Amino acid sequence: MIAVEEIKKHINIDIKIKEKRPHIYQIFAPFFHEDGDMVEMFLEQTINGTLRFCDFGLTAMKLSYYLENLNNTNKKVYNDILKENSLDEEDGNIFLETNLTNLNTNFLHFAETLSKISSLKYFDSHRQKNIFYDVLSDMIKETFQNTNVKKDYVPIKEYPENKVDYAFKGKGRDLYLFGVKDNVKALQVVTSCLEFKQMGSKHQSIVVYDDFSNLNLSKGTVSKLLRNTDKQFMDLNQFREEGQNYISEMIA
Amino acid sequence: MDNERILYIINSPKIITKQPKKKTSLINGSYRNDFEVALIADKNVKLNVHFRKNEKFSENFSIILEYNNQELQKRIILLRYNGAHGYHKNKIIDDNEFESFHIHRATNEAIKQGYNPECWAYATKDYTTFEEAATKFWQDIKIQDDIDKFFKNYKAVQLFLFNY
Repeated sequence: MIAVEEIKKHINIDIKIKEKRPHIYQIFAPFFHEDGDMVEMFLEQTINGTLRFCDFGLTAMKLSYYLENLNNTNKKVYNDILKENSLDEEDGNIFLETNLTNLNTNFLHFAETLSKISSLKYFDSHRQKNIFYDVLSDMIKETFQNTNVKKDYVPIKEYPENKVDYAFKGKGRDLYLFGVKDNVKALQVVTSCLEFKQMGSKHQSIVVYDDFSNLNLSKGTVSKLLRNTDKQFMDLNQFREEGQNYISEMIA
Repeated sequence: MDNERILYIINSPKIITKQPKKKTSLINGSYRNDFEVALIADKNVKLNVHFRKNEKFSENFSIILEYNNQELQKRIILLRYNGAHGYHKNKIIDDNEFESFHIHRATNEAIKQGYNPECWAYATKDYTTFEEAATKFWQDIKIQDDIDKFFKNYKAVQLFLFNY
């Protein structure tokens, strides 16, 4: 088994090493996450004598504090980072095989790559930055407690992909409300509304944006939305102030 | 979001609004379970609780209270009970450093300066295992539901499996 002093001799920065488990050493080095916790890195000597740097799933675990799931895009980026940096992964354990000669360069490389992977937390569209759909849902639940509202309503059974976020049952016609926070959703709304009209559906449509001025919807998307929907609320604040009265009048 | 509000939310009694899963998931080398709580005083204030425990090292765990901050339009971690995973160093409020079990807490100082909201932490001797931390966390954030209803034998140290 490689001695601790031997490991320290081959790594050129000021580190501390502690045996975490038999043949597994934790390396305490000045690499920190944004939350002040040190990046967790280990040097393991495997049964057949090879050395490898590992994280034993701790990078993925920390990432899971900020990302609900690694969605397709993030998973692809995650795999690309590993591949392009010649790291491997097995059941969440990211590792890099090494030897004594290249211990220092491999260690620095390993630490850098773990930092890149950790930065994936900034790219989550579910948790960070936007809980728009949750806020909209709570607002509707609170404001329209005594109103007949259906969530994820499918007006035309033959087209289940054309879902309405919230459908309000009206005396004359129904009101279909959509929340929009990006181009993808915007175009889905356009398609759905066009197909509803083609099928002769009698309804009014409302779009509530997640801060329209900062959404960066393309000009073409905006034109299509304006042509094919009826009422726009430019952000949640406007919907909060005016939505109840508007909807109540429309369904009366 | 000021410190008074942060502490109010942390310390306010809560009930479970979405139950933990019956079986813990093992994903990418860590055991996980998640559930939702709400303040009894204001059920619109909802928080997520996340349990994480590393498969290889039982002393590496996190128990997290996460808040849907409508003002900032994002979710922030208010509280995080950490295991003795290595080293922590504060960059705000004080410059304490420690290797022991510690608790991260969101602060107004961190939020105002654009830092990770829960980057400040303090060492604790209130727990030495995941199970003790979970029990302490449950008490500290005042979840009114009985922990034993969801996590049987939770007070016993789970030597081999984080499962129930």
